[in-house]
Parts: sequence; structure tokens; C-alpha cells
Amino acid sequence: MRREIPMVLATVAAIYTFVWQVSHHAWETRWLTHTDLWRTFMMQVAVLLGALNLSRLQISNIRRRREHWPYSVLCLVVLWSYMIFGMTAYGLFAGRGNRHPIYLWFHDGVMVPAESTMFSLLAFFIASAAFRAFKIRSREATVLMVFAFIVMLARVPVGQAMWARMPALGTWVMAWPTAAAMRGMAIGIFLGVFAATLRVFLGLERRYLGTS
Amino acid sequence: MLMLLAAAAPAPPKWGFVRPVDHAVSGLFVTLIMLLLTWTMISRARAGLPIPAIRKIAGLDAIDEAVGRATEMGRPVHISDFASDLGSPTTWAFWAYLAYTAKICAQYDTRIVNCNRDVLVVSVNEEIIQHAYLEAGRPDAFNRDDIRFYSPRQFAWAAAVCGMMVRERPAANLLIGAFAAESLVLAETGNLIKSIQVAGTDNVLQLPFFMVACDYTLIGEEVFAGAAYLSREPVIMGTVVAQDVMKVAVYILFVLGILGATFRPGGRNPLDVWLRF
Amino acid sequence: MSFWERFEGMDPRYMYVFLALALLIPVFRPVGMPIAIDHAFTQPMFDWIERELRPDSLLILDTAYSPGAAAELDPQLAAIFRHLMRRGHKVVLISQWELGARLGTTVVRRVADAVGAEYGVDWVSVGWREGGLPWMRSLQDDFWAGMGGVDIDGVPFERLPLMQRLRAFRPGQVDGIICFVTGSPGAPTYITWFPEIRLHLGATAVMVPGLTPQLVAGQTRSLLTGLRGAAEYEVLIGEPGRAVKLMDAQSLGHLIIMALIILSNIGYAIRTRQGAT
Repeated sequence: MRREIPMVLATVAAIYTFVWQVSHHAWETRWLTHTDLWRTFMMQVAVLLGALNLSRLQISNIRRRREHWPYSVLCLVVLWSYMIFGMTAYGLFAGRGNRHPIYLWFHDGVMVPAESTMFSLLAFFIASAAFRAFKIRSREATVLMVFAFIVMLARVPVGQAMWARMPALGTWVMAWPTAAAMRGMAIGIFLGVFAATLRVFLGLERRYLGTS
Repeated sequence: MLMLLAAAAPAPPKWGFVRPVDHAVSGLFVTLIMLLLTWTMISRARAGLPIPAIRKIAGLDAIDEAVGRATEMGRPVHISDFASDLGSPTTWAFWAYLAYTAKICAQYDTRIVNCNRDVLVVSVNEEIIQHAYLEAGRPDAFNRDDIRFYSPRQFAWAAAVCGMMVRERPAANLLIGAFAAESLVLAETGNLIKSIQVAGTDNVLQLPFFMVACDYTLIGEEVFAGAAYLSREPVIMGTVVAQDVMKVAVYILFVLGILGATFRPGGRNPLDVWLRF
Repeated sequence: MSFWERFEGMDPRYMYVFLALALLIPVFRPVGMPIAIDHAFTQPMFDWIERELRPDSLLILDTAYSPGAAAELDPQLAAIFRHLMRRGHKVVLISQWELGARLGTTVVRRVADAVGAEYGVDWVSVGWREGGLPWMRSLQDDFWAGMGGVDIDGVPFERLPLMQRLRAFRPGQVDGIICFVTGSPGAPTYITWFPEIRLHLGATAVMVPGLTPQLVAGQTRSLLTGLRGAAEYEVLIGEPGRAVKLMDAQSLGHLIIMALIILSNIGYAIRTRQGAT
């Protein structure tokens, strides 16, 4: 029964979601919105477990004085102080939610710059990856490199300055050969995901129940 | 006024049930056909009846090679899936890779590190890895601290994984599953520490990044086919075969659609009318 | 070891310094190269707002992005909002990403103050709610209930005159959707569930190959491509801003990457020729 009940639940939920996907009734959406909220609440409780897992790892780093252990102290301080802030009279429970000035400062002054910085690293990493990978080792690799150059030049004003038709050529590459390749791959992936989902639908997928 | 009300009212459902959109109708039929195909192939695979074989994908050999190299160097193996959550098909595929890698790591007595962004997945991953160590007869070598939860936020998770890679220098870096913008950040960090890297994702937008930065890449649906190959479970084998049969059917429809659109354009060809119901 | 061999094995950190300089110098000393308008990707968005939309149309702008994409998508949002206000349209800002709600509102508020658009009358920001797809679909039946009846700052919809026009996310009440995307959830929400409402997209450059098939198929009518798309839009509305200024930096950045690739290939060719002889 330990495995059967969750499997029946998963199959019923899969069938319900499928019906919701193709049908057209407001009550189905309402019901699914409610169940999704339950999922959200459960996830929030689970996040606490995650925080405990992370804390256990950091405390172990500190106790064993592993390399860079001061960062573990920082991680613990930030993790728990933000959580305590959010759940006390200074934060969300004060009734002002995400409009609290300190919350906004955390968002605008810490989260936004930190995420932007991580994303901007991509510009640097793509340079070193392209430097290493774009070698004319074969005819196919040469074609790949030529098209990469066309798109790179077409997307910036300097390409247009070199040749007035460059942006149009770049648009053609994106709209036809690239779109065709993307479609082919997307269909294969869609069918792969579809087949995997049907296993839950048929009650055949049991990996999410663990190995025991 | 009545006309205005009629314009604002939602269109009536098709056949009293299905949404009045083309893709809802065709989606319903595709699902039913696929369901039948999957069921047939799984039943055949379970009964030991012949079904088309699955070829081995080159990237899978690379996993053995990578773990072997990590063992020689005495360094850990890192395997992670970014967008893992319990309800995602890529996570189910990832579990096949995790189980396989954990099994070889346990046999070779090599450390395996797994980093997660979903708390519920942590417990399943922990169980899979523990089970592999148990099967290999080394339950004491299993280290719970190596299955980690870092952060549910994308770049916080990526930063933490990069930090782990630089500190612990895994010799093998396996990035398999659903990845987004952090793919290149992880793969280039793996490159900086000279890891052997095997990647695979169903996100077509991230494939170019993995292809330029990693040693082997499983492309799109190969992630699912590879999972079937590794697990050798009839259920998964059957679904992969059903998926391929469906793909051939879709491509035949493509060709017919292209011919129809070329010779009788403007939605006047019977195929177009039939597909739109 | 020859120069070329050393060049090929160059520490990537030198490359990062070159690239950082290439990106920084034009920011301080812009050249001002002319920017061509893409007639397939960008122009349809401008034409739609300028000519096709009836005056006083109500549009939903979805800021489905996180801070990582803000450098590319904030200028797009600012330029489009400016254009919409100039043409006298109304805007309801929503977000499928939780951080996108606050980011988008900050950008729009700044532009609204500059052009004199009034909150509650010309635009409203309703923010983000937990619930994913079921939540988005519930807005089709009852927008007010789906949003909990309050805007991003908790102001009741009853006090916002614009919200009296938007009771359900349906054609007739909503004249168009402009979605700013950087991943999932994003465009598929509208393509699948709101196919009756005209959709236009603004995307980060990395998303463009994945979204182009949707543009070619007509599922979206236009697609602003990263910072370049924002710069083109700023030129189209005759108000060059931050995106136009940054295009020179992008030009030089691309040139540096291309130069590095060419040099590494020269080194590779010389090395392979020497190996052959």
C-alpha cells in the first residue's frame, strides 16, 4: 500500500491534468489552482528541510575547518538572518510583504546585482568556449564557423557597416535554416518528454517513489 | 449590444468538451494514439516479444571513461541536473544516469557528489546513491554530505556548484537533465579545472553551449534514449520505441503536409482540412 | 613552444580582460554606428502599435524575466511602454516570474513618470502570483479573483479605474499581449492557452533561435531580439536611449570574439601543417 496509494494518486492527477489541458471548463481550472496552492505550501515546508540540509553541510565545514570555511559562516548568517527577517515582525508578518523597505533593499541591492553578475559571466565564458571549440577541423566545422560569423556580424551595427545586406543575411539564417533545425530537434524532444509522461499516465513510472 | 456580448463571450467548446483550438483537438488524438503505441510496446517488451533494439549512444561510454579517470586520479565525480523536480520527465531520465554512475562509483570506490535545487529530489537522489553503495557491498562508503541542496534560485545554485567544483576539483563532470542559462557557466568552470565533461539536455537553446564546452553531449531526445539504454527496463525501452514509431508517423505527415501546401495551397487541400478538424 | 602554440594554450583570463575592455571602452566613448531595422523581427511590433491597434486599446505586458536578463529586456520594455503611452493605449503589467514583477514595475514607473502616465488610469501593475499555468488560465475566467483583487502593492482593484475594463483575460477585453521572455514559463503559455489574442515577444538574444520557429509559423507576430531589438525599437520611436548607446560595445565585443577565433585557427592551421611535415 505504501507504493500503491501514491501511484494511484499520481495517475489520477495525470488524468485530471490531461482532461484540463484539452477541455474548457472554469471549475476544472479552479480546482487545479487550489491543488497547486497545496503543492506550493508543501514546497515551502520542504524548503525548510533544504535549509537544514544546507546548514548541516556548512556546520560540518566549519567544525572540520575545511578550506574556505569562513564562507560557510557567511552562508549560515545570510541564510538564517534573511529567513528570520522574513518571518518576524520586521518582515512579512508586519503585513507589508514585499513592500517593506528592507526587503526591497535586499531585492534591489543584493539579489538583482548578484544575479545580473552571474548572467553576465556568460559573455566571458562564451568567448573562451568559442576560442577553444571553433576550429576548422572538418568541412562541417567550417560551415558552422562561417554561419556563426554571419550571425554575429548581422546582429551588430558593425556588420551593417561592412556590408549593407549583412543584417538581411543574418535574418535569413535565423528564420530558415536555424528554425528548421530547431523544429526537428524540438519534435524529437517533445516526443521523448511525451513518452516519459505517458509512463506516469499508465502508472508505469515508479522512480519518483524511490528505490526501496 | 447583443453583437458586442457575442464577441466577448468565449467560443463554445468543440464536441461539447474539447477547447475550440486546433491544437487541443489534434493533441487529444496524438495522445490517444501514443498511449496505445506505448502500451503495446511495453507489453511486448515485458512479454519478451521482439521490439526494435536501441543502439548505444557514444556519450554513454564516456561516462565509464570519465568515472575511470576520476578513480585513477583519486578525485570525485560530480553529477547534477539543474531543473530537477519530482514531476519532470528529465528528472526521471536523470535518475537512470545517477543510478548507473553511482553504481560504478561504488564499485570503484570513488566519491560521487550531487548538487540539487529541489529539496524533494535530494531525498530520492540520496536513496538512489545509497542503494547503489549497498548493492556494491560498501554501505559504509556512502557519504550523505555529498548529496547536497544548495538553492532553489538558478544563479545562486550555479554559483554554489561552481564554487564546489573549484574547491573539490571533480575529475568527471556529468551535467545531464534540464539546464538553462547556467549551462555554460558550469561547463566552462568544469573546463577550467580540466574535468572530463559529459553533458546532455533537452533544452535546445543550451545544446550549443554544451557542445562547445564539453567532451561529449547527449543531444535532446538522446537523454531519454540513453536513460532507457542504461536502465534496460522493459517499461522505458518500450516507451522509447513507441516514441520513435510516432516520430516516423509525424515525419510522414510532414511530407504529406508539405506536398499538400505546395500543390494545393491556402488550406484547400484535404489534409489541411482534416488536420484542423 | 612556438608563439602560436602558446597563443592556443592562452589562459582564458587574458581573453576575459580583452573582452572586458572591448565592452567598456565604447560605453565611455561611443562611435554611434547606424542601426538597421529588422523587417521580419522588429518592424511588425512597431507597425502593430502605430497603425493596427485601435486607440485606447488594452494590452497585457508580461515581464517573464529575472535580473540576469534585465540588461537586455529592460530597454525593450521601456521603449515599448513609451510608444504605447504616446499612442494613448492602456497597459496592465503582469509577470509569470516572481522577480520580473518588481523589475518590470520599476522600469515602467520610471518611464511613466517621464511621460506623465497616470497609475490606475493609463497603467496598472498587478504583479505575480504563485500557481503557474493553472493560475494563468484561471485569469481567463475571472481576472480579479485570480489576482486576489489587488495590485502589486496591495491596492484593491476597485480603486483602480483601468481594472474595471479587465474582468477576464479574454479577447474583447484584452487587445494584445507583449511578453518579455528569458526562459520557462514564457511564450508557450500564451501560444498554447491564449491563441485567440495577438502575441508579440521581446526576448534575450540567447532565446531567439528557439523562438524563431514560432515567428515563422505566425504564432507570434514579432520578436525583439535582445539589446539589438531594443536599440532598433528606440530608433523606430525616434528616442535613442541606453540600448542604442550599448550597441557599439556589443559590436566591439563580437569583433574581439571573432578575432580570437580567427587567430586560434591560424595557430591550429600552422600547428597541423607542421605536424604533417
